[in-house]
Amino acid sequence: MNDTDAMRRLAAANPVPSPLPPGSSQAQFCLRTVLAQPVPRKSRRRAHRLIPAAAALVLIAAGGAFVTITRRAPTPPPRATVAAPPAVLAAAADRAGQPSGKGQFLHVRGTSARVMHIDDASGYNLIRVDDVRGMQPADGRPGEGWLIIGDEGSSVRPVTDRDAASWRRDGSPGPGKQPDTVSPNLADDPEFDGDVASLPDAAEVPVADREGWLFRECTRLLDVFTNTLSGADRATLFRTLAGLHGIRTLDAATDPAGRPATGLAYTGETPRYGLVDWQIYLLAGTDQIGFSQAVVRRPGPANATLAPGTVQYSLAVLDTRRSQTP
Amino acid sequence: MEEQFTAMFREHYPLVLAFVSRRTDQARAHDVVAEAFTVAWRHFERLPDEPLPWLYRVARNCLANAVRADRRQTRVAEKIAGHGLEPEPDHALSVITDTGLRQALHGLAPGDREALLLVGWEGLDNQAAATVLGCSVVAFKVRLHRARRRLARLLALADSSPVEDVPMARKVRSA
Repeated sequence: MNDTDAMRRLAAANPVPSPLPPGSSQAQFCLRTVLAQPVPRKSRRRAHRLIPAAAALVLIAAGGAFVTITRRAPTPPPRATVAAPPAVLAAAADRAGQPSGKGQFLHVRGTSARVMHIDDASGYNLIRVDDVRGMQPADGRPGEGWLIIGDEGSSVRPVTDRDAASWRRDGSPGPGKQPDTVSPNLADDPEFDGDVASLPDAAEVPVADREGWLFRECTRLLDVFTNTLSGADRATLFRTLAGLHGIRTLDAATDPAGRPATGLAYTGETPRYGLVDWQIYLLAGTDQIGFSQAVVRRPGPANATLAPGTVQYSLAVLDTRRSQTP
Repeated sequence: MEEQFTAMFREHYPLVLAFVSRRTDQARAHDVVAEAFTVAWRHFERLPDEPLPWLYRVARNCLANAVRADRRQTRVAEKIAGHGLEPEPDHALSVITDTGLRQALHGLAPGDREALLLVGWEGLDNQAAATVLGCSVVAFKVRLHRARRRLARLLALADSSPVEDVPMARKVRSA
């Protein structure tokens, strides 16, 4: 491989290949906040130059008073504001209820990542990343879809330096057998497979963490890799989410892939994986969950070797396309 | 002046946000970009005609400050917890899915890696990239030439021992 090929390969791996679209509400907020800072004085530099040397010496002799007087108090950097989850979800419900694009089939491409624990002598953790492609009949049309995981590429990498050392000692094994699902059921949730209109209220859900179950089931049903729902059903799911307690908006204004998005999260206890933060990112101006992930807040028996903050699994929707052919 | 700044902001905000997003997590990227443009606003009169390399440089410094602050907090947390915490991985490397490339970049010195990323990801020419790194154009050219050759060599090494497609015989518990 020559260095031109190497640079081409580097460019192809750019995680944010094109500039993020301007004009987002986040950009507007940033601009307003910056302009609200003290206005720079046009004549300041010139005025400093015009100060006679003698006057400057006097000021310096006065115990550094000049420096003290003109130093501006440090201004904390502006931070992002966040919208309330019900407002975000209600807006998504409105968009879901609007007519969608043409094309009977929805083709989706993305990546799925998950932590795997290898039970060798020392025990270590790897992050497995799989390319995912799927097709579903669009807008709740009848018919079957397909889902292919890892067919176009899979890779593994150690989670920590310690895992890397154990992995190398183990012969640096590769991804191995492909997983069956894009989103593992960490909370051992009973799966809802009925009509969305008959989704139970939180009070009727037969699990301990009812709000958590509804958050996970609604977001699972909104996943475009595995489900085909009409706009009306999607709107119902978003409205159900909007009525839940315990959801919070994340500070980040983009998803982990760098796209403008609003992040929502619910933190819940699971029997095997400890305390988990379930996060979804709604792409800006759409009703599409572009990214979802489960972040470990406090590990449990099944992931005891993971540090808090580790992403247990994630699913990114990188491209959706409608067509007339499956 | 506000109109001029607004025009400059609208032109460069997406590029600076993309630049920072390639180097840190999203939670931090927006704060860093806002801080960089706040600095630009304070020094607007002194901004060069082509402000993008200058903005990249300021954003890079803001990011370095944020990372340093985080490390200080981590050290305090370590003392409180009484045991070592895992160091934060290099974000730019962690988001690359090409395993061989990630391995190869990991083997480069941080300065060489940044030179490659400024050209390969940001698409800067030597002059602009040198401004971002605060070095002369000649020094940058030398660094880039060296880094390109090292990357090619390390990529060839990484590809000769790929991690993919090696059967995993161990028992795997998938999360």
